[in-house]
Amino acid sequence: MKIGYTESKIMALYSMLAGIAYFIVAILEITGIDFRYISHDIFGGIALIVIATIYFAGIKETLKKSYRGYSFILGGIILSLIFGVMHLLIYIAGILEYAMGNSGFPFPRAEIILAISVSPLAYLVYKKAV
Amino acid sequence: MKAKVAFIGNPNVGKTELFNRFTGQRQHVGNWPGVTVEKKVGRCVCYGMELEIVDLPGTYSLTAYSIDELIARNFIIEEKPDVVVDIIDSTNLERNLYLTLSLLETGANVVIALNMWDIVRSKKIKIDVKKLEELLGVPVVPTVAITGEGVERLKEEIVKAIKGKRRKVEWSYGRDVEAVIKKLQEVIKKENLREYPSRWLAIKIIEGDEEILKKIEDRCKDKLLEIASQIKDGETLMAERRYRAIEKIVEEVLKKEEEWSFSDMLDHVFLHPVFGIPIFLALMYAAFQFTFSFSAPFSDMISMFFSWLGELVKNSMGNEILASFLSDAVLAGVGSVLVFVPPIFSLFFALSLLENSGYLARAAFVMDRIMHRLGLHGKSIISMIMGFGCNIPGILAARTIENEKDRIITVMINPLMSCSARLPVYILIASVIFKSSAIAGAAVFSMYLLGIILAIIMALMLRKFLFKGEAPAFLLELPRYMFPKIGSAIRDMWEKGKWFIIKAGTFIFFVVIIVWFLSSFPWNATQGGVNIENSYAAMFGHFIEPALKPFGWQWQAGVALFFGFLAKEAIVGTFGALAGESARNAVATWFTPLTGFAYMAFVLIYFPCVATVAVMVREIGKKYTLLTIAYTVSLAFVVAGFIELIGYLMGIS
Repeated sequence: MKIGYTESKIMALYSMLAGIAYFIVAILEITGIDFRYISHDIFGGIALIVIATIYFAGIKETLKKSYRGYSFILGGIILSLIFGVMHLLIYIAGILEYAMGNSGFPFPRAEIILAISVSPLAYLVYKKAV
Repeated sequence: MKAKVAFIGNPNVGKTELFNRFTGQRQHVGNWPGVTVEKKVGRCVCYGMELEIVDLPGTYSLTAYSIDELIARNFIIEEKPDVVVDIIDSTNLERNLYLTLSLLETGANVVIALNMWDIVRSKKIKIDVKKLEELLGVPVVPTVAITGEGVERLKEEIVKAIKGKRRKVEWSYGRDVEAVIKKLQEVIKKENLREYPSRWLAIKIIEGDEEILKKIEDRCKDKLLEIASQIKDGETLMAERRYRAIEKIVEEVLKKEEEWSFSDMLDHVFLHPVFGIPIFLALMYAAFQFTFSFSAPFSDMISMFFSWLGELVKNSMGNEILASFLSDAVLAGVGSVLVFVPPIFSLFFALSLLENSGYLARAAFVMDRIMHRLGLHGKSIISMIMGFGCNIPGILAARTIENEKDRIITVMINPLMSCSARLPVYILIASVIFKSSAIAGAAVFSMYLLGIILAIIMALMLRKFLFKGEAPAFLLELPRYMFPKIGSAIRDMWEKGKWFIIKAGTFIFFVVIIVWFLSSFPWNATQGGVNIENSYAAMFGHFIEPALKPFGWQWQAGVALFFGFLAKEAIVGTFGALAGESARNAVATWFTPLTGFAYMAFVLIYFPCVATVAVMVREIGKKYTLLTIAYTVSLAFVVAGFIELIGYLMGIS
């Protein structure tokens, strides 16, 4: 394994921050607080809670430099990317709707920003653990 | 001296290559008696001994669920070959040793070929061959079938094994199981069931192996079953104990640096006992949200095109009836169906990505944990997931389920899986009655969830009242995770989705012509289809209205449901033809959020389409098909009524 203790600590910390960010966005989506980057989306919010929990689940084992921990981070990243890409495509579709005059200019959903913000973690895990 | 040798192994372990190495051109290919499974027999001379080598079908275990397994095990038990060569993929010891333990239970004279040894070397995996020999009590020879490495040593060991006797090593499957095995063996020996190895027979009785129970029907079966009943769910327990034994063996013989592959890491999370199911649901949600939201502008483009074309035709044609026919029937009707090409293709694209990435097989594995507890066979999940695309392939996929009861249950609940033909109805209604696209997406997703929940409830009821018994365990090979190729996902999407375009141009086309005729005639009374209340369609709609009135649905909804019997897509086609210019505007006046949502649920449940019914008759017979129709129609009324009642009590209109 090529991962050092410091790198593991960085991964664990990053994972925790990602988990917190996903959790906050999830709560906002479920409670229906309509904000520029957030829509009222109960199932979407629940899906984000799943992602947040996966990030949290890996923290302890990652600190022990265990593959079990890295697995959770990798799983969380993959789900983040799937949801990020999905919302990016939906955002593009929203721009098309705007161009046809059917709706106002859309705001990108928070999931896209979250996916972009976990990409350094994705790079680190892919380079070191996979 | 002549001897009979059988080659056995999991699929794709290099068995055929090794067989060819031994026999060269001296092969004969035929069929096993009574079945169309290929039987390969070859000959070779090794160290002065003539060997007749039989290549048994590739199999993962020696249960009696598939014809391949049955052939392999009957050959070993009944023909008693002098040696059985078990070919193992040495890069995957854990999986392959399951068959090895099953073989050793039969008391066969086994020689193990640890094949693919070159990959073991290149991956720097260390297998302690001596230790493995010691633990299993049989000779173990590393081989590379494609280069011939180790083949000479294997021949030598086979000949030695024919001449000598193997050291008998029996793995303990735990005190509780061993105590029962011992008691069973005593009875087996007393009752003189000498044609079977006693330990193997005892284990098969614990597992409730139907094939074996049939064979000992008249010979102390009840007595043996009474002893075996001390162990609950014997089949699952035995599989679990074998894997526990394998785990111990692997721990002792396999030395490799703890390094997980990409697939190992993802499986640790995606197949996790706690997270597996939430992840599956989250991914399904993502697929449906993508389907609903990404396709919206493309659907709008198609809709705008047909509206523009309809107007153009209406304004440029002199003949009123012909203009109405082309504009209100052909363009409005077929156009209202074609606008759903983007969501249907998006759904198939998303499902193809999940399938190509290797996740869909895992979804079956993850859901099996719940389904098995609910009395459904693990393979039912594959049939159910396929039902999301179309119920017909879903029903046909149930053919892989060997047990008749499980197969019939799986077929009977498949119409509750929301096929893609129902998707246009959900999208049309949800996008009109719910203002927010996120809520509309959630409403569509909830239909899929409702279908799964109802299917589980119905499976439980069918299992409890009609098809009593327990669902057997199943073995599923998980493919490696792969980055899905966009090109192949697009090809898949086209292959699976093109029927919708074909259907819209043929079947739906005729349905909308009929609906147009019914809604425009008598021509004078309807003033050319303007006053639809005086049409034949309205007469028919008002006739069936009393049955739907309690749900607050207009007669148009009833007419659409009637045509939905033929094909579910015909519902939106009918809406289009009845509404004339804009189905969306019409739907907004026909439904409230509550009545619309109940209608969506009704469409999900009420009747499998005609094509599905025809396939069901062929697969499970008329009796069970009629029963399925009866329960789906009754359930549709109950569920729609329940939704409206709950909504009413919550003050939703």
